Amino acid sequence: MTGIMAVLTSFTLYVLSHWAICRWGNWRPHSRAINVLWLCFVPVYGLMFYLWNRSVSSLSVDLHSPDGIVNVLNGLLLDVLLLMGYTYFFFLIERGLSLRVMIEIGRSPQAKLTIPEIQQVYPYDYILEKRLGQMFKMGYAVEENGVIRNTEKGHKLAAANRCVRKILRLEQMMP
Amino acid sequence: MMPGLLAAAICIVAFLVMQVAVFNLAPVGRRFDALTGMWLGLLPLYITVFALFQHRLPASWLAVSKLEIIVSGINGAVVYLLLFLIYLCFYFTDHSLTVAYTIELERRGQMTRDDIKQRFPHDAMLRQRLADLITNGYVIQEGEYYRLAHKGRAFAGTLGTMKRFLKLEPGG
Repeated sequence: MTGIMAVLTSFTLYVLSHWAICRWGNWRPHSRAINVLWLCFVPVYGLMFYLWNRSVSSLSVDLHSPDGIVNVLNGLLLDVLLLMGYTYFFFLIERGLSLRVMIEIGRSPQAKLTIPEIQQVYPYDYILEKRLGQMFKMGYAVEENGVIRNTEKGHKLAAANRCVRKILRLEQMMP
Repeated sequence: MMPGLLAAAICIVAFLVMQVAVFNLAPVGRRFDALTGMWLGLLPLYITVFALFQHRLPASWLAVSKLEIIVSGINGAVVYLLLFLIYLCFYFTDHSLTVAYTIELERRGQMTRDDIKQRFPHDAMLRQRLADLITNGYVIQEGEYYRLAHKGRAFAGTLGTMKRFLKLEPGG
């Protein structure tokens, strides 16, 4: 249980720190901020584990026993899983197309919009440039004289996704 | 912790096998509901496997007190839940425009911005998303207009407030 308490404490501190950076700082890109900050909080997990282990007798575990080792590793596993879930949640808020559409509908004067009205407030050039910018920055694609093509990294991403889509029978959401 | 973690690992593998089998056997309409149904359907298996491991593993791997057994069970269930949620994120990459662009670039070799716009037209893309939002009860269509359903208002209101607080606007 010590690992669970330690990860709950350290991950809460991590999320609060990340929110503070988003609100008051200017650390970009977001993906790097999320990952680097998380790595900085891994020692905090260790510290929290030590503190809970020392200060609460009912949580005390022997780190040389199998139970103690499983306790530490279980906390780390939860830490990684929480990071993955949080990353997805964060980018759902930051980049979600459906969410942006719903927000635009909700904020419109009559609280309803037609497709051409959505296209005006959420133009395709904005969507396209944001995605392409991310693809160039992440090294998935390059642009030469207005022509865009995949890099080796982009090729691997596309191949992996096509394979997964085939196995899981994912329908293409895009037209 | 071990019985819960092992039970979670077995259940997520069973979930993956079941999902691939079901989705390959017949077309599934509401995929999110189907995935959630499968995950929930395997919870009794989780409880059974957890109970089995609790009796069969070496004593040094097992929780002793009643509270520790409960915590171990909940911990495994949380791991099973988190793995499922992460899998959902992975599964729904078919919504990702970036991935769609990458696959199309792979297919054609190279594209200009205009090629991309022609292949993924804005209005068709929005229509597809809105149809998806209508199916899932977030949006209601009234003639040419689209407005938020109660569920959509709650969702967009909560996440929109968060987006504003984190200074992520306009985003999307």
